[in-house]
Amino acid sequence: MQMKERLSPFQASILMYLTQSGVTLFSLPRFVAEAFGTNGWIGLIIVYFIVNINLVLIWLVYKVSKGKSMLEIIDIFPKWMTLPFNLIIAGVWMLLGVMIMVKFCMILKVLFYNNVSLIYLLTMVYILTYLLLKKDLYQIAKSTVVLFYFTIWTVFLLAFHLPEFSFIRLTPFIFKGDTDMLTGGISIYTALLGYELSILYIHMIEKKQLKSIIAGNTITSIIYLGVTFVSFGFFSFDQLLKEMYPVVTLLGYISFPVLERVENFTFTIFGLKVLMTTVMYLWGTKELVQYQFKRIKPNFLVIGILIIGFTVSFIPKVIKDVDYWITYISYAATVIAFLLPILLLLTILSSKILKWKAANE
Amino acid sequence: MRKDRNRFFKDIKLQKEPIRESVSTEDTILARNPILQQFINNFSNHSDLSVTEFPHLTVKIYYFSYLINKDHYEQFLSNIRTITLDELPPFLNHSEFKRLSNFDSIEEAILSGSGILFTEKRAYELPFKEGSGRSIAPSETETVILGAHDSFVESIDVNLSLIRKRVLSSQLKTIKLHVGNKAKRTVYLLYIEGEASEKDIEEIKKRILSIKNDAIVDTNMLVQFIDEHPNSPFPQFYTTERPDVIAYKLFDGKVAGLMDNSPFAFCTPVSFFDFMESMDDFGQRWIVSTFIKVTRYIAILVTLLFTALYVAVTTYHYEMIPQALLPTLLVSRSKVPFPPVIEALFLEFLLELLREAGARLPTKVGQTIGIVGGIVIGQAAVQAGITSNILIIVVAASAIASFVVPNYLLSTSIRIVRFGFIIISGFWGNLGIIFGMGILIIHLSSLTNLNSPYLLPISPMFPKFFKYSLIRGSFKKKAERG
Repeated sequence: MQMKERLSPFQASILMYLTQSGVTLFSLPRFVAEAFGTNGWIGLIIVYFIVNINLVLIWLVYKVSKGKSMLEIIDIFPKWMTLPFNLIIAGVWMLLGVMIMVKFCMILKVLFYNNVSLIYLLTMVYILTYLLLKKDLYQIAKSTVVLFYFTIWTVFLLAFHLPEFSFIRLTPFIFKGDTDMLTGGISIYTALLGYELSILYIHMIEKKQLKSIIAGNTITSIIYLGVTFVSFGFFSFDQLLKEMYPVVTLLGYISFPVLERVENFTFTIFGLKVLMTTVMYLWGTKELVQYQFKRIKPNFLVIGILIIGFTVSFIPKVIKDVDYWITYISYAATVIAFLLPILLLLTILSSKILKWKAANE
Repeated sequence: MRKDRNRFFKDIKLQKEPIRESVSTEDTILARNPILQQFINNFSNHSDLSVTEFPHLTVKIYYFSYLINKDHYEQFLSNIRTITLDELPPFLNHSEFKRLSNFDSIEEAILSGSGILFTEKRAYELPFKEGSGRSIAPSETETVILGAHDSFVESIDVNLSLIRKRVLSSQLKTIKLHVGNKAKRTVYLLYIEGEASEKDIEEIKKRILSIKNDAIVDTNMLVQFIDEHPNSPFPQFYTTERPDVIAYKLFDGKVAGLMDNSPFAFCTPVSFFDFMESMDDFGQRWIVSTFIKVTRYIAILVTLLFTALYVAVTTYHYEMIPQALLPTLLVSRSKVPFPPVIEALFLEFLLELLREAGARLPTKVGQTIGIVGGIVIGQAAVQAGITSNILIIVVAASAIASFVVPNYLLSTSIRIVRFGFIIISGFWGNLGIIFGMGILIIHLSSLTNLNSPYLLPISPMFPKFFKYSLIRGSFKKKAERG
């Protein structure tokens, strides 16, 4: 199906937010506390601006190339030259998308569904992923917006914690304690990953490209900031360092008059957000592989990617293995996020100067 | 002798009913008319077709006696008897007699209740159409408290008049189409020029003309032939019995369709939120209407998820029930020998049976069903230990909620989808419910009606339309906006 409709700025922002908002959220307050120490939530603001710089780079690629997509830009190279790059990027994105979901399913299993086999959980995820991936981006974005409405109310659950919030727990110190700014900072940065995929769809946004992608990042950052801030005032600093998943503990605190301990329900709803992250990374993979191998039918390609993803899902056995994978893959993804727009900018500029023509017809 | 007898009978026949006989191809000077020949060939085995002859004028009039208006017919006979052969051409040139030049138009005219007059060379349509039918009555499927009470009937002309009376503008355009190969059914497309999109009109026209099926008897059937997602449980074309709804939708830039002999009109392109509207919303104050609309959305969620949540919680997540409520639930559940999912499915199925029986039975018997159902479901099932008290409350709440949805088609679809949720929650608990929601959201957001997204204006999002579809905004502000 040809891409006819274009994304509205709002859709693009929501797509961006749901791609970014992933499984790292559950441990984010602890990461922040480990990395920046007391009042570490302020550090998130710094990270937010760094991501924005990266987004401006992506927007520059769009602007300088006069609305071309990334795949159109790299079309000046012969396919054999782009093949290794694309495959590496596609591989990293696929692994990241898959591992994030595996991690979520493992947490879900450990916390709430001990007796459910991981195969069941992953099968459900891959069915939903397939339903979304077999459509084009516009359709994915349409579903994303509804999923956004379906999940966004969970943010307001933070109101339940406000009575227990205490400014004393925030302490008057900023960035004190055992801090690990660099490694910790990168791990927090990876929590915002997902924005780099916008390089594949920025040309499909009908107007206000820069604003909409920055708005998407802003939504994510505000939610992350809110959750982290509440965590810092809800838990004591030491407790925060010891909590494996502070956000899950936060969810466990919520109870309604007719239902209590709703965390298994709300946590599962978070799964839909994580699903979108996985879907978007796999979509990125699909686009890149499809560019290299135009003859493969899109549906076969999606099934192929999902089969590989499903198989890879079972390599790590415990959460620690997955964390190990995610750490390294997200480093790679971070490098891609920065380098890809820079390389594309260089390509555009040099092609303008040297007047290269498309190598592939 | 035999010849004489035949002659005798012929005379008797002529005396008794001198101008009426059944159709046959025998002996007529009018057989020279090729259209008449074709007509007689096609209508050869129609013993119910009547014919009136006027030998002195060399004309024959064919008609179905039960389709025509007898008064019009008698009036015409008294007129034509008085004229001579020379006066016939000027008489037929009168504008009320339409000249028909091909068999198709003759076929359509006679089947719709006109008489056909054949001269030696030509054919004319005589306007004998019977105007009466079921009288206009309030709609039974879409009742309103505030608003007009008339609804469509089976006559397409009456239905058109009901719409015309409400849309007093020359900009209201109509397109007449025919559906089917043999039994050609008339469909009128209506739109307001300048409001409706040309693309939509062309598209719907194309789809209707592509229908080859002859057995379409109702608008609700017709729209299933032209929708884009035939395998979805959700209705995609909005059908209604109410002319005021159609008039409102026409002004909203939509294309409406009427089919002959169907009291339903359809309109397109519509979204999910059109099915959540009732004309009552426009009569109420906007604050009240908005509240009611929000209640309906909650009702949809209750219908879909309440029973499923009960099954999930009582099967897998007992920890979610507050301590104060737990003893009540446990006592209620303790006598029931089945797992919650069986219990819930049993009761829900019984309720569907009751609903279906109530819909099919005559009103007086329907009351009996209500009483039997009320006692059986309400009291006996609990006492017999087949179901728990709490489940009855849950099922009743979700049943009531399902009737809050103003559109019958959508209400039924949601009740069917609910069964899916109950089953999946019996297998996987809360996890299943979320998985089901995921599939439902993906499905709904992929639906389209005439290429327009089903979840408009939520996805893709158009916040400026929220006021007039999700909720009901103030009219004053709408007027200011123009």
